[in-house]
Amino acid sequence: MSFEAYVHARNAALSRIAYLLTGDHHLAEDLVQQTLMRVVGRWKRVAAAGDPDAYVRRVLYHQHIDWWKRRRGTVEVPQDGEATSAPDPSDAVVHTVAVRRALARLAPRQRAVLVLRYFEDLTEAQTAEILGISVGTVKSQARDGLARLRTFTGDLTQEVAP
Amino acid sequence: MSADGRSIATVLAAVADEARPARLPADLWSRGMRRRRRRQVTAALAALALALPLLLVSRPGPETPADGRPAVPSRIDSPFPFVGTATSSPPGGASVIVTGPGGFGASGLFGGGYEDRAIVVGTNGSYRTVRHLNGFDAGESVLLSPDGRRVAGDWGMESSWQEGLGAAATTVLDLTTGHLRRYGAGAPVAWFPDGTRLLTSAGTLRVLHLDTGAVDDLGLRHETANVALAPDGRHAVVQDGSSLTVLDLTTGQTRTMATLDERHTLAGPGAWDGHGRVAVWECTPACSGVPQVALTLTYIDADTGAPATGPALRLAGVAGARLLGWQRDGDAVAVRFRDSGTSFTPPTGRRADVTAPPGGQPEVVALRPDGPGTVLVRVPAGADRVEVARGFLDRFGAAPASLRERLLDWLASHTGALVLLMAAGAALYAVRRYRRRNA
Repeated sequence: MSFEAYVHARNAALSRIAYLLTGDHHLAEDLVQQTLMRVVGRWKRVAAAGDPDAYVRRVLYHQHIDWWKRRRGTVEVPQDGEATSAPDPSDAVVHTVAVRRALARLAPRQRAVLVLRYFEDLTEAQTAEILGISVGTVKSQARDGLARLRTFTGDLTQEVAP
Repeated sequence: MSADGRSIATVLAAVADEARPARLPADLWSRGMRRRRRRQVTAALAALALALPLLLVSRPGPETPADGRPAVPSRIDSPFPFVGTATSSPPGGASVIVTGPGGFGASGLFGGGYEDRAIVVGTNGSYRTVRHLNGFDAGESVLLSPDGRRVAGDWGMESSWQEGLGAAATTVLDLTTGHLRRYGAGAPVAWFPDGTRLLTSAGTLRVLHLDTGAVDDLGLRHETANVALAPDGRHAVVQDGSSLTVLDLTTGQTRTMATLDERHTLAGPGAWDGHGRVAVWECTPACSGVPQVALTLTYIDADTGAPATGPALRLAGVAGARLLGWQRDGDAVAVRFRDSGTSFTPPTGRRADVTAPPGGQPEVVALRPDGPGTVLVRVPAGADRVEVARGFLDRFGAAPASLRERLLDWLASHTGALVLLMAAGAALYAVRRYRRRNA
C-alpha cells in the first residue's frame, strides 16, 4: 500500500482517535500530521510488514503521551466540547458533557487506555502492546480511569446522549 | 463489557463523531523525509561526539621517533590552558623540560605562586605539565633523566610532600607511568649517565640508588656549586667557590683539580667531556655580577689539572650560558641566556654565576669552532630555564607539533575527563527520559 493511499483511507479514523486524545480540533490535526511525518521515514518497512495501521496508531498514541510530557505544566489542553457546547437541558446531554469534561482531566495514558479499550474495542493485551506497557498496568489504568470518571460525573451508567 | 464500559464507549463514540478529518499538507511525504534526514544527521553527530573520546583512547597518539631520528622540537610553544599533567596522562618519555615564573599561563584559576608548572615536551611532541614547581628551575632543581623517562625534583613536586621525609627529599616522576616515588635522600643535583642513580645533596653530596632507595653519603660538603659528572659516572667535578674538586662517586675520595680565578667557572653539567677534559667558561669581563659577558670555553685535564687543548667555542653578548654536553661530531650544546634580569641582583637562593643568571630568555644552541651559536630549540615567552635530556643531544631538528597535533593531543590528554563527562550526560539524559516516560 502506498503512503498516499493509506493516508487517504485512514485519515478520518486517525483524526477521530486524535480528537479523543487531545479534545481539540487543532491539536488533533497537529497530532495526526506529526504522526504521519514520523511514519514516512519507515514507511517502506512498515508497509512491507503488512499492517501499517497498527504501527501508525502506536506512533500516534506515543506521540500524544510525549507531547503531554513535554508540555506538562505549561500548556492546558483546551476542550472544544467545553468551549463550544452550550449546556443542554436534557439529562443525557448534560451527562455526556460531564463525561467529556472528566475525560479531559485524566492523565494521557489513562485516557489512551480508555480510548483503546472502549472506543477501539481492543483487548487488554492489544492495548498493552500498543502502549508498550504491561497488561496489569492496562487493567489498573482502566480501573483508575473509570473510577476518576465516576468521581467527576457520578453514575457513569446514566443514559448518554448519542 | 461492563455497564461503565458500555457507557464510556457510547460517550467516546459521540465525541469522536465531532472530529474533523485532519487537513494535511500536500508535501507531507517530503517533509517526513526531510525530518528523517535531519534526525539521521543529528544521530550521527551525537554518535561521533560520544565516540570521539573512545577514538582518542584507541588512537596511538603522536608517533615517537625511532632511535637516532630527530626527537627534540626546534620550537616549544606555550601550552594550551589546562593541558594534561604528566601524572594523569604520562607522555611516555620526554626530551625537553622548560620552567618559568608563572607556569606559562597554565597555572590554573588563581594565577602563579605555588601552582607554577613546568612544561614537559614528550619525545612524540606532546605537551604535559609537572605541577607545584614554585621556584624550581629546569636543569638545576628539576632534572630530566638522560633517557628522558623520568623527572627528578625535590619534595614539593606534584605536592609529593610526605611525612617523615623532611624538606630535603627527592621526588622522581616516571613519565612512562605517571607514578611518583619519594626518597628521603636530599634534593637532586644530577643524574648519573646510566639513569639508575641520582647525585643528591642534603648538606653533603649523596648517591641515591633509585631501585632500592639506598643512599651513600659521600661526605663532601655541597652548597650552591656547579657539578658535572664524568661520562662514565665514576667521578664528578664540583665547583665550590674558586675550587674545582674531583669526587670519586664510589669511595667519596676527593682531590683538588684546579683553583679558578673570578674570570673562570665550571661550564655546566656537561662540562666533563669524553676526552678526559673539563670545560670551563672564561668570562669577559667577569663570571658574575655583570649584565653581559663574552664567554669562551677553556679546558682542564681532569687527571692532571693542567690546561688542555680543545675546540675554541665562544659566545658573545649573553647574560650567561650553561654547557649541557657534546654531540658526536664535536659540537657543544649549551643553553644561552640572553636576559640578565633587570638588576642582575641574584634573588635569594639563586646564584649569580653565568651558568645560572637570574634572568631568562634561554635558547638551546650548538657551538661550533667556525662560527656563532646555531639555535637548536626556541622556548616560549616566559621561560627562564630549559633542560634537554642528555641522551637526546644528537637528536635535535624535529618539527614542532602542529596546531592540529597539539589540539588532538590536548583532547587525548583529557580522554578520561571527556569520557566521564559524556557518561554523566548520557546518564542524566537516561534518567530524565525514564522519568518522563514513567510520569
